[in-house]
Amino acid sequence: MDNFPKTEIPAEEIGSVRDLIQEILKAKKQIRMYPSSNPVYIKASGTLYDRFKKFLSLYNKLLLKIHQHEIVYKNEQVYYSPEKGDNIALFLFKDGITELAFLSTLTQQELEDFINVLNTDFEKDVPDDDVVTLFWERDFKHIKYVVDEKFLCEWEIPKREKMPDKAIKTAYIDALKAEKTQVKISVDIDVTDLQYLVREIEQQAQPKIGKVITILFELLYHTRESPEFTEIFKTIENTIDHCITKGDFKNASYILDMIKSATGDKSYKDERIKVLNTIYTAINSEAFVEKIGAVLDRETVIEEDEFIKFIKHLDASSIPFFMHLMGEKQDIKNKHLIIETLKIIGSLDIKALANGLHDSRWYVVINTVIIMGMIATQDCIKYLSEIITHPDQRVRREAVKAIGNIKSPDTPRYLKDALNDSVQSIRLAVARVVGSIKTEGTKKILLAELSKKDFYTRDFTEKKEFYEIIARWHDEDVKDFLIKTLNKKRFFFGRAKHDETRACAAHVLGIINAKGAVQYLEKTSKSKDRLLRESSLSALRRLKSP
Amino acid sequence: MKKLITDKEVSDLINNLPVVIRTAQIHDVNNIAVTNAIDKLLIVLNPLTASEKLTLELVGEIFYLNENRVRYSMEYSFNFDFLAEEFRKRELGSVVFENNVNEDDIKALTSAFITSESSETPFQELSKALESVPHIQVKTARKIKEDITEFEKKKMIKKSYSAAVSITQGVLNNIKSNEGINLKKSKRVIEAIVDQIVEEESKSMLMGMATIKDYDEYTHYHSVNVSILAMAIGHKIGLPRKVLAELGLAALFHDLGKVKIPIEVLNKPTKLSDEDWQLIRQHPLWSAITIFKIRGIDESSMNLAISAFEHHLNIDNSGYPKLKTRMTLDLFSKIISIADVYDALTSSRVYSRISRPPEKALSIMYEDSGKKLDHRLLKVFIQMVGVYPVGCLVMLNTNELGLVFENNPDPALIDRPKVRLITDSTGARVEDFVNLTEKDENGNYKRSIAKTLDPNQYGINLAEYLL
Repeated sequence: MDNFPKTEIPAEEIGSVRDLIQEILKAKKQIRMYPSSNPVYIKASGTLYDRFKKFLSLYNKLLLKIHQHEIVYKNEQVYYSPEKGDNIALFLFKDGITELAFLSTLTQQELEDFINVLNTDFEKDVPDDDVVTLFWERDFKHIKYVVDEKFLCEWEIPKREKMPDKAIKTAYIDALKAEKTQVKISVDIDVTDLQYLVREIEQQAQPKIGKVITILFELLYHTRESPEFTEIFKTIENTIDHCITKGDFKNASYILDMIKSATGDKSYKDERIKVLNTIYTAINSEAFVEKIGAVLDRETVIEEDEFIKFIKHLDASSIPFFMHLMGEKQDIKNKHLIIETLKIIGSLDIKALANGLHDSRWYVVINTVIIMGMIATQDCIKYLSEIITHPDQRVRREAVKAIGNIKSPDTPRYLKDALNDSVQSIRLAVARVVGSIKTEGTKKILLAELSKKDFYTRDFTEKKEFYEIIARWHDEDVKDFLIKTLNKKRFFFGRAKHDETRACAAHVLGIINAKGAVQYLEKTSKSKDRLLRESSLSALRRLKSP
Repeated sequence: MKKLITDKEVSDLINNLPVVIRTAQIHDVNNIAVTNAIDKLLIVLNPLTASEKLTLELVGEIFYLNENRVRYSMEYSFNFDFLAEEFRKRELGSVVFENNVNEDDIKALTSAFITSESSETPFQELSKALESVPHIQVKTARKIKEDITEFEKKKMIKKSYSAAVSITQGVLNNIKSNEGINLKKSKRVIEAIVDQIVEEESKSMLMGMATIKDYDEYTHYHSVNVSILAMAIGHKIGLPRKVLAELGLAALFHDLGKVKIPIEVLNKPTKLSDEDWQLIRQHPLWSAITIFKIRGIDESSMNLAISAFEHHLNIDNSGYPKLKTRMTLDLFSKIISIADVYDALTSSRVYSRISRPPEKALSIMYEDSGKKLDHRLLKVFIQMVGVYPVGCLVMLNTNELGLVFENNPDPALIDRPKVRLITDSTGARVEDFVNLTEKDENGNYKRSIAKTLDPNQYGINLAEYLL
């Protein structure tokens, strides 16, 4: 690159370079702080590029010499920093960059990439790289740099004698005597070869973790009798961590499948199997579950089937940690996967899962109820019935639903009290659940409810639904009850509400096709109460239709 | 607005232009085979020149189409190399096709191309012949500003090679003493070598360097040679430069596990016992274990460990280590296996004292391909190094003795490399270079390879000759 003689450089030019460096420092900060879609980032990048364009259109090229603490433009210092930390000169110089040139054809993308390199935290992000490698990987077309490679190696391979004269003579004589060479190699590369190679190249770009896992288990097998076994096992544990951190549940599952298969392999000694089984302690630990939580919160797309396969390797000991996750991360993305997880592992220990029903946070309780409803085993009912009187109606409603999911003869017994819930929709939900279990017992529970003195005071829609539910039993008991209700007259206080109830009975008598009720319905079809009259007429039409 | 040229159009152009030239090297330009090839080329050219000129320019080793860099791709790498070589032979920088370019224009270009090949001043002749052609212009090769002299190039290559050997030695020593490996330096050296590999002339020089064998420091030199050869194969099949660097690094560290083989086994002067072999066969396992131990699990360590583990497996898994589960080898492993076997066969090691001459090594590898080595990649390798690779000691049919120093990039002429003469036909020492594609006035080749010898038998230090 150029070497500039000590000549007078216009102050304006030097000033522009100094401004440009300051602009780089400013943009560097803003670009580091904001994501690339943020307006501040976009503005910073655009402004910097405009400044560069302006300078390069005037001076064609910006050539900077890089020293440890300063940057020099045409022998003039344009940047100085004695700092070790925030010093762009040192940042470039430490890896051997001694010159940097921005060409007039510079693009905004390259300039942005350059700034991003300046913002790299090598320790954290790319511990194996340095500035030169990052520049090299970006393959800049319009930013050139000179690197001092001295630090790489001063040593040179020793020079050797080419070939002694005597050896040449011998070779010449041997060659004269040698047989003629015949090469029979055909190396025509056809379309199939090319297609194969293109496929191989595409394959090469695919993630390698699956192959690495297979190799790790080969290594594990080969070292099963040697001290390296523990190291390999440790790497396998780290690999699960790596997979989880990347949200790769498929390969995490693959590792656990392989562990399972190894523990069943007779060629491993018992003490080795013990070591292998410690993986389960690791994956059920609080720290590990937290990592899963972080992934569920971060990733927008998770392959659910793979996630579920992985979860099936966990045991009940991780329940408290997932419960904790459910409580702490109420707004977590992929919350449904935590629910799904607890459904799977919760079914292994309902008692542990039921602890969630006593949590002070309503959403934890409600989610636990939902999970229990999904598990829907007999032993869930006991715990769910304990919260049927929970102060939060959302919880009570879910509890009813959950109990309803458990198709058990005991279900109505646990729900009986809930028919008196203060909330109409809950009462109805209970009625529906109870009604769905068509036994003598449930019929009695419902009839008892309908027979309650104050039942007539309930809202018409509730009463109607209750009566429709009882219609599922169209036996004599129910018919008698309905006719009795239909005929029950009131003349004074609450007459209208009573007539509503009678209308419900009329409606249901039609539904259950109670022919014996025709005479009563004909009477009520003349009632002054419009609802009762119309319900009776409607029922009669139904009963008289062929 | 400038028309965007699609990858397909680039590929079609780079594939069809060489077909016209090759066909015209055999037939007259009016022959139906040539005119058919021209028709196909015009189908590609016409849409590209419909609204603007199309400039195909070679700058250094890279083609540009209307100033857009043409990606080096496997789909046309052989034609790309051929075309680049044909441009270089004629000192041709660019060809500009204008709107309405027609069959006659292409015929004129083809004729001029063929006749200028044997000229002393090829570009001038080509340019003169095209003066009256209305839709095609040619321009001489543009000098790249950063062009460096051949001497400087050689110096840089030697430096890269030395650095690679020294760094490998350092890494192996660190592993022996249970220290970590810092990949920064290794990466920097590999990146420098990648930049040299993608440049044809430097690549030949590097391949020359890769013939260096060191009996005492076998593993260090071998690792570097394998790395260079692997990257050269990778480049030939069109791997992008970043992937080439990953491949180079994986190849450089493929034998790390050898540090665990006791020195007395490695240097045993007598025949190795079964136990010794058992130890040697452990080194791919140890390499992988070492990499995982030192590096843990990250993107870099995965590539390194896979290649280290698989490089002796063979594609039919018949090699070592013996597997519990069948594996399909990774592309890197397949490439590294080829480079590894080639360098090992052409070297004399303590435990395998017989080194083979390069062309013998290729024959052995060719026989095993499909079972041990990937057949298709091996074909690529042989096309790249030629059937008489760099470093072959050859006697020509003129009784001149020489060393192959540069292979021919044209797949049809892989047995016609450039040779550095050591003796004349009487056995007297000379210093001269000959190209075996040179023909006499009757169209016959002036020289051909008649016999081959093992350069190792005569103590030839190839690199000193080839650099």
